[in-house]
Amino acid sequence: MNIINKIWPVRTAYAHCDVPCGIYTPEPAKTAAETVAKMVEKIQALPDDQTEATRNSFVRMVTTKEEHAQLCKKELLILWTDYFKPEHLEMFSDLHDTFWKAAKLCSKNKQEVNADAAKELQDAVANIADMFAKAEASKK
Amino acid sequence: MNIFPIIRFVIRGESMAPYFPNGKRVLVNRLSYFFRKPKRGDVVIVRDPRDKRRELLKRIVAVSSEKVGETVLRKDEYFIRGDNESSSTDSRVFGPVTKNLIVGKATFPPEADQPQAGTP
Repeated sequence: MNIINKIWPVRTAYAHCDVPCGIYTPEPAKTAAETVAKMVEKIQALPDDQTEATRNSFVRMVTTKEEHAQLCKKELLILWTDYFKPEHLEMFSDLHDTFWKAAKLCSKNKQEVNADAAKELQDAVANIADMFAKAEASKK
Repeated sequence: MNIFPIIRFVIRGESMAPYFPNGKRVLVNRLSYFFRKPKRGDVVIVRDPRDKRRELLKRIVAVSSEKVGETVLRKDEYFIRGDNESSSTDSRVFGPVTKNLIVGKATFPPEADQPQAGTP
């Protein structure tokens, strides 16, 4: 494969925006975490039957939980890697650990239907939103 | 110096998602516009008019003699845009591009040539 890459290299095609908008907010992650919790609640409240309607609702709710847990992870990673800068480590020495654990919770919520894990994710995102607010306040 | 008429590219950025997402590979035939002109709707690799070492992936939305706003495109001019207008730098920023800047039309290679990504 290396030989092919040498004689027939892969070039980069840029398909992006040159202007980083610089607009960051923890709100999408909060909404996504809230949606995950709501889906867990609704899945657990489904009637214990095998009707077509119940099965259809179950699949839709699991799909929504999956999508929003992934969205939550994506939004957290944007804040972690793009918004927070090395200087923020002085304010929040546990910044990396906080984000890492929150991202892991997103995965856990994809794997399980677990009200405790959903609450933990909401709390983790609320904590990050609080860090974000403090970081914003320090700019002023 | 690349001697092949077909060039391999990897996409960086989201302006052409979902059809041409970040990380996907495309093939570009340098001879695709040798016998015919670029058409509206073609997805092309274009040399960035502001820095010709950079190559961009965009879609042609208007061709020569068509009107874009108040401007009529001149001979061999093309107006290119990203599919995701809010996250794309394109002809709205740097104006129409001329045909000599168009490297070729982009198409997908066989799946086997796509990078394999892990699923978290």
